[in-house]
Amino acid sequence: MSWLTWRLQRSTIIAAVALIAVFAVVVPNLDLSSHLDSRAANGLFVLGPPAFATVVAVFWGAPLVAREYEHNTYKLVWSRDRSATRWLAVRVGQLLAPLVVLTIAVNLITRVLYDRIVAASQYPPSDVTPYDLWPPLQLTMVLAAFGLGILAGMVARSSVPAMGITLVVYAALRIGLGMFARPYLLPPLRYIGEGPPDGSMPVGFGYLDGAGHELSKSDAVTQCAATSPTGVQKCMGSNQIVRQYVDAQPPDRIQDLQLIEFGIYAAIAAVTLAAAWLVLRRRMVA
Amino acid sequence: MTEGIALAVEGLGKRYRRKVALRDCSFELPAGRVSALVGMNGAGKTTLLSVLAGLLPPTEGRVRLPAGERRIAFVAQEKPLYRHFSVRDMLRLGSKLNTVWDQQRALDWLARFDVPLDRPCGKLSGGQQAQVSFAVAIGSRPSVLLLDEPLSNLDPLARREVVKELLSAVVDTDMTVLMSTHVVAELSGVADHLLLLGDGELVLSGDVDDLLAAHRNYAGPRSERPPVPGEVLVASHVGGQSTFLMESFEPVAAPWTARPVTLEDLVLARLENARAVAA
Repeated sequence: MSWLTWRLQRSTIIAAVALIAVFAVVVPNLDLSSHLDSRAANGLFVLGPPAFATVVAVFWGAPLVAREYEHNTYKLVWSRDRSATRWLAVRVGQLLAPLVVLTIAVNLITRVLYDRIVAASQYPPSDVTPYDLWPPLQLTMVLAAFGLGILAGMVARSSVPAMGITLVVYAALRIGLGMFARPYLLPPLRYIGEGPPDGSMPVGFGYLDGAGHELSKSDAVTQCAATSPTGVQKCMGSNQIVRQYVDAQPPDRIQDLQLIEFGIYAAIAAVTLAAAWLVLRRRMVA
Repeated sequence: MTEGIALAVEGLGKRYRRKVALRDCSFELPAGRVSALVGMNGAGKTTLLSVLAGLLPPTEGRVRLPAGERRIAFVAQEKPLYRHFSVRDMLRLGSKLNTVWDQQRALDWLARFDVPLDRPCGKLSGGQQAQVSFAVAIGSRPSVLLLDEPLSNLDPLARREVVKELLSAVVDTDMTVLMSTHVVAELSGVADHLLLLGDGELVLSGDVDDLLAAHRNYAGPRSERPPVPGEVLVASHVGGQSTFLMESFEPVAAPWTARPVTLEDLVLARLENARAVAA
């Protein structure tokens, strides 16, 4: 990192390092036998890495260009001698190394936390999975955040609106992709009569009639009641008249899903950075 | 490109979505001299300087620089600085961002105006911030220095000092300066070349001495017609007397008298004329 990048970004870099240091101190000191601490551990595990990526998006990415516009300093640092696009490329390039190092630090601390949670309880909560901890995926999640922030700053040309836009868009992206789209990135497999193998990612469950059509729960109850009025409960569980199914992604597919999600975040990172560069070039050169 | 030209502009135009900010501007800046870019607020001075500085792409036309060492420095009207940088940091920034850097020149400039090197720029007075901007621009040893309203937030004493230092820098380094202003009174003794912008169009350009020599104020008995042939810029009739500001240097017979015009008279007359034509 050059003196100039450090001088421009040092407060944000120091703040990020301090946050991660706090994370690193808290994780080994949690007492997972205590109910309160183990809930805190779950919360930290689920929210820690996305919070880091969001900090990168909002505090590293969004102000990078927006601040130069806001304070008119772009008129000082971009001119014929030193093109604006080169300035952007140098700033982004030089911030990538610290971003990668800090992301790896977050990844390692979160892994320690994961191991501690798993060791402390026989049945860890369902949202504690090592899915996001695959390093390439976690890294592209952070890079996409960074790119999104920079593009928002380029469009808004003012820090606070850029930070707001970045926060909303990145949160929507993470929630949409991580909580809703993820199980459907590949068409799920349907398990009828048997449960999916251990370690599967559950997608959904329901009932089928004899012909294999999906039934709503009330239809299933009606059918069971019609055929065997005395033992609706038994009928529902027996797979005789209506059958239960479970949709899931089996464990051997998890890596494919991670790869697809990695591809999506990598594409978002590449597209947002390229778009920011192109917008800037169009703005500066006819 | 001819010798002695620091920068040439051909058919330059800049259109924003609705508004035309610059229209068909063509001029040349004489090398090693101070040119003034004069116009009322909103005439397009900042747009023109931003295009010349490479911060804004023109919609049409082009800016040409002579071959060889040609570097432009621009001091924007806001005199932007990184507020959390110390003055020393700003000079270091200048040294990093420029292919040529003369630290001593920058330091000399700051010393001349008593600007403390270790104070953050945000804690400096407006005048001192302007001095830091000038020091960074001067330190980059530009061939062309563009200054947008450079004197606007300086006190009268500092104005005179800045002008003096700028002129000596021009002499020492063969630098060409283009400075914009809307205060015509600021120009006397500073600029020897004039570019006059009215509503996005170049109304007048040329050497100040030539322009002044080519215009006269004629006064005489009341008359609807001027006493000599030539373009009338301003005609006024008060009581029994008429005066005409004209583009003419013809001698005139009594009872008419001819007086030289001042730069301020000329600029105001030209701008008013341009406005009347546009309306």
